[in-house]
Amino acid sequence: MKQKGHYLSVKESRAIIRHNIKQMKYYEAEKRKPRTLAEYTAPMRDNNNLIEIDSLKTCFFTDTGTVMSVNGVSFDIPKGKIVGVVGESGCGKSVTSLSIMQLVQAPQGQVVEGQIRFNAGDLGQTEDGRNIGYDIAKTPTAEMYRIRGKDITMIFQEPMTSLNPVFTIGYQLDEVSFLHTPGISAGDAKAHSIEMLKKVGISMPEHTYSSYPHELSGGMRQRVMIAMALVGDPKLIIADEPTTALDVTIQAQILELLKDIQKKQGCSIMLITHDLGVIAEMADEVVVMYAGRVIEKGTASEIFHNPLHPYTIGLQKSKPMINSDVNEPLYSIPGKVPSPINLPNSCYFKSRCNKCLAKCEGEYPKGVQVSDTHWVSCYLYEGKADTK
Amino acid sequence: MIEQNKQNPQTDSVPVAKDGGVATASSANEVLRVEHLKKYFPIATDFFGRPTAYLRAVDDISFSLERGKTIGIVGESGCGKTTLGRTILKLYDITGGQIYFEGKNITDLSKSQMKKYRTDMQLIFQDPYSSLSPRMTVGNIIKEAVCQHNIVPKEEVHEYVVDIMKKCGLRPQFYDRYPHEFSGGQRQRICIARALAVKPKLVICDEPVSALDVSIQAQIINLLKELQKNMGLTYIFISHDLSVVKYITDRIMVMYLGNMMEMGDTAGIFKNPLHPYTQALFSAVPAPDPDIKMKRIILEGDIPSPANPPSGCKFHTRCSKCMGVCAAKAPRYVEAEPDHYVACHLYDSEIMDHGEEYDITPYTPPAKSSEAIKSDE
Amino acid sequence: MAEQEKKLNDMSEATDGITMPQEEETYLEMSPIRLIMRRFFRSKLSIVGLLMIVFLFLFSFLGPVVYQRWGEETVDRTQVSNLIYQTYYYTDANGNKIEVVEQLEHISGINNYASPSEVHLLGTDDKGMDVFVRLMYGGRISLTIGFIVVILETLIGVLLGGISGYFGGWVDQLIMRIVDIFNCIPMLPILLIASAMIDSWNIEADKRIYILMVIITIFSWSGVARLVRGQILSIREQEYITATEVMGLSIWRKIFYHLIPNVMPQLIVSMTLGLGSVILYESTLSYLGLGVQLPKAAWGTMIATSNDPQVLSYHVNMWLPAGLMIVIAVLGFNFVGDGLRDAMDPKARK
Repeated sequence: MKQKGHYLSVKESRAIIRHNIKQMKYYEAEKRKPRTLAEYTAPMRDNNNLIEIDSLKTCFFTDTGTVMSVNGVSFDIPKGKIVGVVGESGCGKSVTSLSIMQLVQAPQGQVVEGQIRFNAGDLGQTEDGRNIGYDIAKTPTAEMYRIRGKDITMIFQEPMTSLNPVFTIGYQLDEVSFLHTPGISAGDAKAHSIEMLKKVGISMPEHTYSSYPHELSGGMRQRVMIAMALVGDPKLIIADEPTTALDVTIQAQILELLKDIQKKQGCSIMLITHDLGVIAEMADEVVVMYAGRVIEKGTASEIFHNPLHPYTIGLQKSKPMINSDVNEPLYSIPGKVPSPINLPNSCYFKSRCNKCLAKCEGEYPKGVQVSDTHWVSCYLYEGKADTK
Repeated sequence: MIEQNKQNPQTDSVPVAKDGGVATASSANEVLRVEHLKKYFPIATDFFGRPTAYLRAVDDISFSLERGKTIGIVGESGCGKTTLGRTILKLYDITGGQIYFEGKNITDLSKSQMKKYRTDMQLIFQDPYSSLSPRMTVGNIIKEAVCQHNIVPKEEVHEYVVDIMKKCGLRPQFYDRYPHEFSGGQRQRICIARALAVKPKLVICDEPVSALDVSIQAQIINLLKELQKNMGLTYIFISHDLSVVKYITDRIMVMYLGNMMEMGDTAGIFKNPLHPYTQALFSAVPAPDPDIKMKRIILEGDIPSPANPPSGCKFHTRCSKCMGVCAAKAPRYVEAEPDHYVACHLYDSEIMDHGEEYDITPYTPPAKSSEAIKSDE
Repeated sequence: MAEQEKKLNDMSEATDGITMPQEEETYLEMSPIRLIMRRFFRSKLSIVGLLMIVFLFLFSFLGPVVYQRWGEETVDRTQVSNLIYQTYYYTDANGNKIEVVEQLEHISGINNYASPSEVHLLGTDDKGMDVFVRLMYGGRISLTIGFIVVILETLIGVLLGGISGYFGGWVDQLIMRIVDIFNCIPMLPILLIASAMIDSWNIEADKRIYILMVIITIFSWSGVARLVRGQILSIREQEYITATEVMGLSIWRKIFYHLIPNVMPQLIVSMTLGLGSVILYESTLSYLGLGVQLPKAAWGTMIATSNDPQVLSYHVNMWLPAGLMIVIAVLGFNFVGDGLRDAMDPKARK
């Protein structure tokens, strides 16, 4: 028993559990309350934005404490753009996307605060000409079924497990059509599915249509997943690490395809990845997340050519590059990501930061708008809002 | 052995350049030499259990490795790089070829004879989650092999383990904790500590950083480099990530479907990749700079199944510079530049200079659409 | 110990800041055992199961010590007189119907078929033995047999399944075919034959119990062996077992420090679930008159009294409590087994 303080005592553990049960009950009851249309819609800030996330907080009530997976995240996804969300594992990037889909694992996981406004374009406008959008954080589940899979779709990391092995590819594709286009005939659905398969570069779509997932390779399955995402003609595709499980040469194919599709369809893509290379290749705008918060956001060239936050800088330096000098030791950020429970209200990165100021011990830094598009949350740039 | 040779007349007909220097005469500094190593897995058997078809996971690989150096083995999934690593450790039976460890032939040693060499060769795994026994404390995990092989006297074991832990960046307080309490990076440090505790000479790192986050990756790479410098270790570094390999290796071997495609020193290969596959592999890695839109060579189709590889050069189905001869004849290793070997007809003067004898016109392999090549999982 | 600790702290301070990443622990972990407990107690059903089992143990093992009014085989020999009324009808000369009620006093030397009262909490059976007390002794027998059989079958199963899974090849084939054979032998007919043989050898009641245990064990180890083999096959694929190979650890260490501890959770679950089924078997056999025999108490034999239609309809107190006890035992062990499975399954860990 060398480290006594390392484990939770029975008393502490019990207090946590009691707190969790209370919280979960409260939020579940909140969800079940009937809501009027006015209560779950809100005007968009900008009609050109497809999604506006406003100080979103999603937490998980676990046995060791409340995990703030997403802690006040705000960013926009403009129409027809690829927004890259980058961060290390556990930074909350996947939970953000699940919150948009209203797929956070309940009752442990709950969206506790904030708005996710989705500009569906079918709710009319306010007096001052702003579109009214759905607030996904409050939208009832029944309403969400209509949006999910049609307007917002998702591509998962693991192409091996995201297709049902007992149904043919065709069946699974048709299913989406049947669900979102009421009254569509079986023939039309099939034609549509085959068209989608063609669109994702599958050269023998009829053949693939009638095959089972296990008969396809990893890259092919990911193509099928993309085809499935396209069936409902979505406004937003959330791609959660779409190429992480693939080989480099296949990754190149899939990235090329995603870009192509985005151009042709004119939809937006929210690309979640930990790979800076993929982000640089694909994204128009980049959001960098760390420990549940956005620490920096801006256009791709701003983030890659003028990174401001020490974490963004460190991340870029520690990524080994093919065309870089190998004789120097690789730059590495010391330490590890803080545990997401009971985080103090001060900069989460300060213990790993090499530019720490005295101020950093204070409360969590408010964001600084460095330029029109570039925003950073660090004391180093406080008051520099107008430079550059 | 004879029977297996019959199974693969094709491989044996491949002229392997003896003067290719791929496996040169042993020098005093040589830790490992692998000659024509083959590992086939039976994938189909007849009624009596005799294999009728093989998966050629490792097919005729030769290289040698000097003390204190690192060789990188690069390739995509299914290219046999992991199998190669484990075959060298003799975790699998060897189908053909020879392995020399410090000049001694260890190919035919039995399991009990191998015991002697176990501490000399170690393995670091890719997945830091499944490679640590969940029901043992960190101290016991590291201590276990040390006690088994009497690396240090019994009284000093605890101190020794704590020392190793510190070297690997673990706090001594972690001694009594269980693996599930640690993050991926720390678990990988535990794995490294466990491997190094038995004072190995050769460490095979099987994708040690690919399961880790970027910032942790850098820590582990630096740790491995530092340990190599301080302890004089020799590494075989298996990875699919070219940028990582560049940082840590002295030599690189590129594998595709069990075959060696290209081998040479790291700087040479990165400066001037010769094989079309290596070129495609290099260009496929996305650069973290939005302005550099590299001229991508995007390979067509998927990796063929290693159970049913294409004829001739195994890469010809996806190659952009494919010639008629590629489908018919497997290329031999040529030293295209000093200490830079490549298995491609393009660099084989015998083929390229005898256009009348060999078909060197551009050739598109029959429409093997990607769907037709179904994976065999 | 304290010295060592101090040393450790010194060392950690010395190395902090060089290569050691500075880590702050902002939250506390749950210890492995607490983690399992927490997940176990999360399910209401496993709590109910645990309470049932605790009740059963207290009742069976502590009960007879506390409640000593009657012994297991003591017959209540208090004289009981029962008044029996018999009615006869006569027709006299005038044609009137006369009803004659005859009062008889039946004096019995044994207080049998007694209804529940203060003296006999659950009444007595046909032999005049106290049902409540026999319930406790029956529980002792059932639980003891259950535990011994489960431990025996687990030992055999781990040994054979372990050998089979670890070595593979022809050893595996041989053992698994034996398991197959044991699986396809119908258990009940064999038990019937065995007990008929025991009967013919006139073996006394005490020894019958041991023979019963051996027989149940012989027929139930195969399931455990198959489970252990399957588990070991899947654990062998884990990289930490490859690591033991690379480390050159001895076979003995591999088996006892790496394989068995990782099979343990599944084993504990299967043992708990096995307890329920062994108790059920024992009761069935006793009911059929093959297991524990009178005058020894067993739940099965107590239920068997309901073969008499009189007892079935008028003396519910003689057989229903024993039936309930079996239900409680089997349900309890199954609930706890299920709860343990959920708690110990590493895949359930989020």
